[in-house]
Amino acid sequence: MNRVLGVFAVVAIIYLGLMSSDPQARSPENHQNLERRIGEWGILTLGVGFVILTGGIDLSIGSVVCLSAVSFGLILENNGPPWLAFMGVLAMGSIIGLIHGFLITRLNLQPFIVTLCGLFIYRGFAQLLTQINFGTIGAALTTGWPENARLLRDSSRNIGLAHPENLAWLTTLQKGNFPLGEWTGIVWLDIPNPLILFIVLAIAAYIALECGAFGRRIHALGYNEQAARYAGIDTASHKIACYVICSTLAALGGILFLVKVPSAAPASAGNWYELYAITGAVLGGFSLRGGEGSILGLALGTAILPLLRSLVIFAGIPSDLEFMVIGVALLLGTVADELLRRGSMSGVRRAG
Amino acid sequence: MLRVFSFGLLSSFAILMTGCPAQKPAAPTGSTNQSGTTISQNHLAATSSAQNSGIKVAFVSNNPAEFWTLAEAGARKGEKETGIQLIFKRPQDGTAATQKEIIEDLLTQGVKAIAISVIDPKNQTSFINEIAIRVPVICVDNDAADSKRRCYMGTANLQAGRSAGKMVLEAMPEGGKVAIFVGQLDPVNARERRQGVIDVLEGLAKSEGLRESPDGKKYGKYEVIGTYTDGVNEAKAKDNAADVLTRYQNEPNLCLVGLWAYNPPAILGAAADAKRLGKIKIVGFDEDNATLEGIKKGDVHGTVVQQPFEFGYQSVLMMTKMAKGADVAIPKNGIIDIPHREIRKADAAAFQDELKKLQGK
Repeated sequence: MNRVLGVFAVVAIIYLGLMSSDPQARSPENHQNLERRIGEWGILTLGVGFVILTGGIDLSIGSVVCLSAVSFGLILENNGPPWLAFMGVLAMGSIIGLIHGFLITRLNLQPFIVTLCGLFIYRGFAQLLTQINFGTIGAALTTGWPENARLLRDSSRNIGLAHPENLAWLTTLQKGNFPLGEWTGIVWLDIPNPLILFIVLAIAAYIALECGAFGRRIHALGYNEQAARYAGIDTASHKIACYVICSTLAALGGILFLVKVPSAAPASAGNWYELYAITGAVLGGFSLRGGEGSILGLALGTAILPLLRSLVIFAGIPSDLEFMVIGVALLLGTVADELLRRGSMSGVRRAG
Repeated sequence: MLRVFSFGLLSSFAILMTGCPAQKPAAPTGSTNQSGTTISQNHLAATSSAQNSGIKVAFVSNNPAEFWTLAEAGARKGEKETGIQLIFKRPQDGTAATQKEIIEDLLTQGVKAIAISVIDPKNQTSFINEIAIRVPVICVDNDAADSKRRCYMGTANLQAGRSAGKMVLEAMPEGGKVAIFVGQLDPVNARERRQGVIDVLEGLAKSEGLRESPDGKKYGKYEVIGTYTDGVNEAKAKDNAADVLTRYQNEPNLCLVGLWAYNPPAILGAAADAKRLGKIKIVGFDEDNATLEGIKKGDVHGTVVQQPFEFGYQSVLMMTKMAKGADVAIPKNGIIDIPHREIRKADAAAFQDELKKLQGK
């Protein structure tokens, strides 16, 4: 519990800062915006949490978000059925995770380098995908190669959401609210669906990690892989499972991204998201050395960045100072959190 | 002890978070060149400051480029004159996702009108329509023409292209070969600028819009040898220019035209490396300092500049009226043209001083 106390204090302070910055910050609308964003970030953060628990890292999350958004948009653009697009993109995420896990466990490559290469490859692949003339391929398959047809366009292009009218269920998942407020008449209880989705996934993750053999094995291999292996744990397949979870959740995040914006520029969509996700997990108490971290802490850590970004706007901080303010705030928060933790631990020792 | 210290740190952190004042850059001191604007100041006359205090309007750019520093300076001038409260935001990563979150937060803050430089016109149209239901929206610099925005305010790029074409005629009256350099040909502004240049080369008295005008063809006395794109990569832009200079090294009449701000400096760099400065003609767009220095030295014939300061200033005046529900006269086609200017050797030094004043340097 002590471990989440620090991050809770940081979240509370930023939240109070935001609330006092502008009367409109206290409105239900702002809370819904924040909750929606926390849910969206949370899904990515949760995924990287699994990987960090094993002592690994995933730097490809932002590129997987981008590739998934682009692929999802392209399938819909070419009149693919939405459910197929949805399942196909999630499957693609799983396969990416499988490849990461395989390279890391079977070939013994460093997670850093494997996923860094992924960062470049998936983004480049997304750019390539947007250049392909799928119409030409379709024509070539049915009537032969069309005259003067080109397989690739000159440059990559932005991908949008075609036929959004066929996507009612996804639009509801991204933009709708869980109508608890409507039922009770209390507007504050209208919880955005992405946050609900995150909470459901977080509870599932909590059960998986804290209530059973799977979670114990993950923690064990994160603390000391060698020891875990000697204890008879199949560390490789557990690690692979964590990378699959991470990339699949990133793919889900990519689909939600496209439904939300709805514009994905293959060169820039999802840039930096891996670092935001890792930051959220680490602030929430996950150790980059592995084996350590709680889901509650992760949920709180996830909230910090959306709160800070909102604060920058509501407090009227100039855009040019945005990165500096966020960086300094994160650093101060981390230092305060560390000191609080040490303080409480020395308190425990003294009491003992 | 540690605990006390860390609580102290946390509270100082809290002060940092809440006490950060809304900083505003100093208002520019110099007077601006108003001569070229189509909208006279009376037309959008600002009402007294007291009436407007407490009303918020916002300006959201498409990226953090220096271009927007000038727009913000103009917008701040409008803020000062009208007494309205202006929030100026630049999405630091230039993505539509970040821009959307910023706009959501501004709407929550209760802004009464919003000016947006659209990043992805086609795909952001639905979002702009959602905003337009709540507050008046004007598109500045980059338009989403099919959206429910009230109007578009910016440079008429076809006309700006014609100005550049005119400069090519001046620099190379005997005719010759023309190469065009730009980041991408997808954006409308790039295609319109190119079209304007070609229309003038061909001798058309008036430009009617985009039409088929391929590379490798002769337009009047001028052959357009190619349009070279670099994917918004300055190094590639310089390589492109260097390759053209190598390929046409014996061509006596060669004019290189750079359509985006970084293209003329890239051309200049390549020409300097190839020791061709002064032997080839260069015409450019925008006010990069290297371009202006090149004009002063005579290496660049001239540049066509937009008026971002006016974008900011005029849009704030217009938003002030819209925010109060007052009638705003908008041309039938929904486009408010902020005229571009032509800068040649005689104007370059004065223009640089003017820029410095606007930027508050």
